[in-house]
Amino acid sequence: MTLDRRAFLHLGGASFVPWLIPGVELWAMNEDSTDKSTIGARLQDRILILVELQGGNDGLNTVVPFRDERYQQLRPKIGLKPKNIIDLGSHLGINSALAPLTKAWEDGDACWILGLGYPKPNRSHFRSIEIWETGSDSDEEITDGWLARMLKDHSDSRRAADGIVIGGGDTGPLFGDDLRVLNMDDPEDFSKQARTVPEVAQGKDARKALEHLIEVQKDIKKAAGIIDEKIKSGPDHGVRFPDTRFGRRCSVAADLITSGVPCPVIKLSIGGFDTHSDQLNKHSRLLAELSGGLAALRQALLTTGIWDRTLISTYSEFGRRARENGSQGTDHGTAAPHLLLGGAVKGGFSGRYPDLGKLNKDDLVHTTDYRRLYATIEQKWFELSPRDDVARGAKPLEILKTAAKSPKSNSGK
Amino acid sequence: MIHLLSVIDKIRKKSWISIAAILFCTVVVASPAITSSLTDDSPEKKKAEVDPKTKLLGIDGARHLLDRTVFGGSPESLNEYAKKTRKEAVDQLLSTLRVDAVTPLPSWSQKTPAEVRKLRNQNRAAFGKKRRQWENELRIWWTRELLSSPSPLTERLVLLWHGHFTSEMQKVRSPHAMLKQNNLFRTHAAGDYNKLLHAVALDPAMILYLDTHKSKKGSPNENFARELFELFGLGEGHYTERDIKEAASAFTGYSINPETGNARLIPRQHDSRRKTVLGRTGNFKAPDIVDSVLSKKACSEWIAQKFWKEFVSPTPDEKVVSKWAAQFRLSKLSIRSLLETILLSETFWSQEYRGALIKSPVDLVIGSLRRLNMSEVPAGLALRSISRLGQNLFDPPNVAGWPGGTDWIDATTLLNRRRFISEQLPTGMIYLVRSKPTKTEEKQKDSENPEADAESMNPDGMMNPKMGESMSDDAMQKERPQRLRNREMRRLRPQASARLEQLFQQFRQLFMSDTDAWIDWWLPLKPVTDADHDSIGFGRLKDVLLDPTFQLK
Repeated sequence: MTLDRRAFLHLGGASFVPWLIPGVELWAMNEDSTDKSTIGARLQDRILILVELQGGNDGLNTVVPFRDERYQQLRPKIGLKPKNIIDLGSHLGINSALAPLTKAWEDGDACWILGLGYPKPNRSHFRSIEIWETGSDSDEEITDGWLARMLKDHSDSRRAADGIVIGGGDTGPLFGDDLRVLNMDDPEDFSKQARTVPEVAQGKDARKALEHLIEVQKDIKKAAGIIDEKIKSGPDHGVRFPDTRFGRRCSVAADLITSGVPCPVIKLSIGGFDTHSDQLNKHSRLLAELSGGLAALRQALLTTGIWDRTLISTYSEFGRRARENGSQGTDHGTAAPHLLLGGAVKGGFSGRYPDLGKLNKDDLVHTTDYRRLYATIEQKWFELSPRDDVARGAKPLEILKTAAKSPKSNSGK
Repeated sequence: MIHLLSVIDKIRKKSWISIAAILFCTVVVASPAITSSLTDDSPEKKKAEVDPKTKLLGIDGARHLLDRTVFGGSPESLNEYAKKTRKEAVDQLLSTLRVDAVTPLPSWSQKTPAEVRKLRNQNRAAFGKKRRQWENELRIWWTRELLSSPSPLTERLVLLWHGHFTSEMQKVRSPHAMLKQNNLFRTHAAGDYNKLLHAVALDPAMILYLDTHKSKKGSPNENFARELFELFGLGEGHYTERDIKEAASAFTGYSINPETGNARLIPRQHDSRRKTVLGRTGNFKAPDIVDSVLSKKACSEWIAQKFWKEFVSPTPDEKVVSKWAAQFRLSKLSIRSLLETILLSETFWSQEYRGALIKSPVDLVIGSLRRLNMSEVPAGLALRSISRLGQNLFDPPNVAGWPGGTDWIDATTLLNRRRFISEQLPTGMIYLVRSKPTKTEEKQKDSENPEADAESMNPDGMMNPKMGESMSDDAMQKERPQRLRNREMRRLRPQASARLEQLFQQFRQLFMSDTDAWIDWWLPLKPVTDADHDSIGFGRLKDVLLDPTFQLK
């Protein structure tokens, strides 16, 4: 299946209608199911899984403009040969290491957003991931993560946590005050740790510092309590996950989600994408590990009926230099495509591939501001009213099915 | 089974309310024979007011002082300080101050800027790798100094200045410049604030971090000028945007001399027009602006406030701060004198502020290791623990430094802190046993030989630096913990447990196994969790360390 990018053109009409006719606003908002009573409701029944590709994924060898002759000129040694490319139409193909995701593509569950990046790109790992995770401009410093700001006004004590980071790595986009974020390798180990945390009655003259400590201990106990209970009664999805590091992380995510642990965001990561040398094999291995884990995760969520309520998105600090370097690898670059998966995703390509003829010092020039992805998640996926400081005014992309199914939580517990 | 809480409660009441009881603790340590005569305090004794100048610190006071100034004290130093008056204790502490590190510098530090440049030009990719390795070695080097310095107070101040005058290595990208800056903080740690601020303004790492080198006549960069006023010298509200613009032009034309690696002024890139900054007008250059900042009352108050937050509580009492600031000005901005003022103030010793500060990851990790006489663990191990808890040495989160306080603790870091105590400390002991088996362990018999044990763990034994010498590759290698195989871990675990057990017994002996007085040594407040009184040995100590109050100081 192929989709033309024009199919995704944003039809902005609906949003200004209420402005024109006084009194219609309320009706229109209701229609949009974003009246006050339901704002935040999607945070209860929808899940976002973020996958960080650590080190800077080489976008050009992930989604390949293989019909463009300049591709082979830029990549004489490490350009993918046709046998290593799966043709997806629109003159684009994907690295054949991503084959496990073919089914998702065929079912229309996978969307590649092309050319994501930001102006004045920074090529430092640290700084650029900070930009991606905070949603900041290239030259401004923000401390809190973009998801932390999105969730700020929507705390919910029924959640086990606001976010769960699986398998180490930074809290990244979830970094911020007053957010309850857990870091765990697996739920059992977390519960084991949490069990050793003693119950503490609040002291009478507790100092602010002590009060805070006791508060956090309570959070941990509570999260562990909820997770314990849910996992015990969770359904068996029956899917075998690949025995890779990332596969195991996906398996933990599947356990948490299918058993109905209430938590709107899960963050996974897979490292090793900083492929400065001999990248062909390394990169294929990584993409195979990535797609193998994600395909199994999709299967588990399909089996248990949660796939329509799940959105998976990859991100990375940057793409890599379009022109290969002298060590059969690639150096730090700029824009890159990212993958969106989920039952509610409109399959296909979104946006435009950066023009290989218009490079900036051998680097791709981004075609879509990365914060449009954040706007989509904030406004279209979680159906929250846009905050100025989340997507910074970027418009959502039309990459989710308009009548996205939002069945009520069917776990019943 | 008796709840720890109630036992401690009793002891606290004694030692907090009654001065006699503090004496009691001290004397207990010194001589068990007198204990019985002192334990039956009369009510009069309890009420007796003793001049704080002659009052001995006792265990509780010594712990408070050492927790806040030197990451916590070993049992030996605790006992020593317990027997001193405030004045004696503070004098003693201040007399340890140093201006240099004892740990030999990493070997790459000897390379000249030209040599480094040559390496970089030869092969950029390889140099990038090398640089990252140096950066890591720099972190290890400082961690070793934090663990082994004979003057942890100096390192405490270096850390304070590092968080105040931040530079992030990930932006500076020069381990040489960062090392130089770290040493600058040491040279002026408790020295003259005038000199410190002047040195910082033209410090190469700072120049690179806050873009001074990009600031040229005609296109001034305001980054440094802004932070000089806002974060380093004055605080918000004591300058205008115009002051920043004018000051920025005074900082134009400074860059780094590629031959020496030091700052230099290139006159033709410097904007030499007359400027008006903070109410003064002249053909100012960088040092003139720094002098303007230093001349302001707000400057002394800003630093006094900073010190309050570092040493007293998160919420400064303005009256007291301005008194300290006045003293600070009288001393011509002597940092040592400010520190002395604070440490001898009633405020510092007030019960109101005990346990009001949350330990930073460095406090917790370095402090626990030093207190347990485990300073000889590979520094890389300690470094890893510190960064896992959210503090990356040489890379504060942003120009404002570590926010600290309650920001240190969330669900993830709190569990990691607990993991540090229950898992990483014992693992550290396994590394110690492995690298330095005691005579006892070598013989595999006669498990009661605490003296030999104590000697072998004496941190002084290891650090025997000759200044000017650099750290050998071998020494650096030892600081990087190799992953131990499971089999080896299993083999060494019993010995490590035995060693921890021995330590625990030593501690108990120091306190004459008197009730739970030794808990005063560990916790600034009454424990809030009930512990199993019957649990013995290191398990017991672990219970105490896992109490939330151990995270406080």
